[in-house]
Amino acid sequence: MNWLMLGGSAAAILALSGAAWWLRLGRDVKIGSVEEAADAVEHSLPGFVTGGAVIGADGLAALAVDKRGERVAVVKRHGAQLAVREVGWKQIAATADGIVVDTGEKRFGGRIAVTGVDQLDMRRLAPQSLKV
Amino acid sequence: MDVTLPDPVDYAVPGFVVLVLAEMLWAWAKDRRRYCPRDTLTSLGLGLGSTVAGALSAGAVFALATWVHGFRLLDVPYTWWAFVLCFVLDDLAYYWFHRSAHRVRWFWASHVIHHSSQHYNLSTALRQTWTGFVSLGFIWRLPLFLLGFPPAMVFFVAALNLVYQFWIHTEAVGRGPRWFEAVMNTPSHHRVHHAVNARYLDRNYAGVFIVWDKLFGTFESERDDDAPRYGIVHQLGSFHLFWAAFHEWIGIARDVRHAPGWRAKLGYLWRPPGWSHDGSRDTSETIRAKWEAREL
Repeated sequence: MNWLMLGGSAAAILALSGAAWWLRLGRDVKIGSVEEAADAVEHSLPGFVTGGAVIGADGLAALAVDKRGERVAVVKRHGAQLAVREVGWKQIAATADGIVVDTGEKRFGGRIAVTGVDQLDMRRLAPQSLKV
Repeated sequence: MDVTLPDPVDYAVPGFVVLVLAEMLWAWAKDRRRYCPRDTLTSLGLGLGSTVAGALSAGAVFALATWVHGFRLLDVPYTWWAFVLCFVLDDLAYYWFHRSAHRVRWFWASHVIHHSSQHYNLSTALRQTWTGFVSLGFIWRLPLFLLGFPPAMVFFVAALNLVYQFWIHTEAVGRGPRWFEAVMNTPSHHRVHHAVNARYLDRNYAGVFIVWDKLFGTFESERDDDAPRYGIVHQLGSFHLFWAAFHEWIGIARDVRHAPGWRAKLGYLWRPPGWSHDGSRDTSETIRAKWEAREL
């Protein structure tokens, strides 16, 4: 490896990434449906059976609650894919703009906003829990 | 006899670039979600970092290989059959290295980088570890030097092995002829390996020859009714280069620090990824068991 190869490699990397961006690959991806959100959660969290899910108004995040209303997971758009984290009810707070989830993981996205979703929406998902 | 062999990877790099571009065009035509610019940038950035890390440690690795070779049992010559035999045995060593990289958390901490993308495309093939030398993953090749294969020969065939594995990191190729799928590692077999579906976890460790997985009971074929989902069980959810490179090492350090007693501390180093002293986390086995219980 020499400086020329290093520089050439860096240039190729930027060119390829730029090509992906220019071709509009993986852009404008949103969470399309509650089924999609539920599917992502159930495949990510062993034993999680979705009782209900709600998607944020901007399609960038969603919340899913299990059938017993005990487990809750946040789904976020991660590039062109979806990433999931199980959280505790105490990590979920209602704000004027919607539900905010404090994942406790800075690199995952410390605070994830599920816009346009309020306490009522959450209570409909888990009426037996009434935790938000 | 000192022999200098070329590095096949150097010659393959232009081909890598062309094929990644071709695959991007395929994705543009077929499904634009198959690529993500940020993911591609992270994957290729990790690949470049891996090359630099490899260059920095190459001297030490070669010196160790030469030292071990000094105790060799046989004198293997630079003949065509020796290259073929070396390639096959190196692939066998690769299988066991790769299996340990999924079943021992210490080795997984280095290898997880390669699996941390939720995409499966040719840029993923270049998403490689920065900490291979630190994790001592090269020890699996030491028996080859001890047997008598010259270090230059081993590193040459190892590079050929890596070049072969580039093209199997794609969804653009379906399944090949049965005779080929029966013997060789293919895009279909390797999609299974990269998948986090319960059925597919810790399967298909092969480099070039899938026969090792069939021989050692770790083979699983791709199913049309169980489309692979890629990444790691606890998805990274981040494009941060350094977080991708070191997150599992940081996780190990935290777990070891908080573990009660030396038994637990060592467990967080050598037991499978997901193991916890209190059983609070999931391993591949528990994930598969929960899935099988649901299937029934």
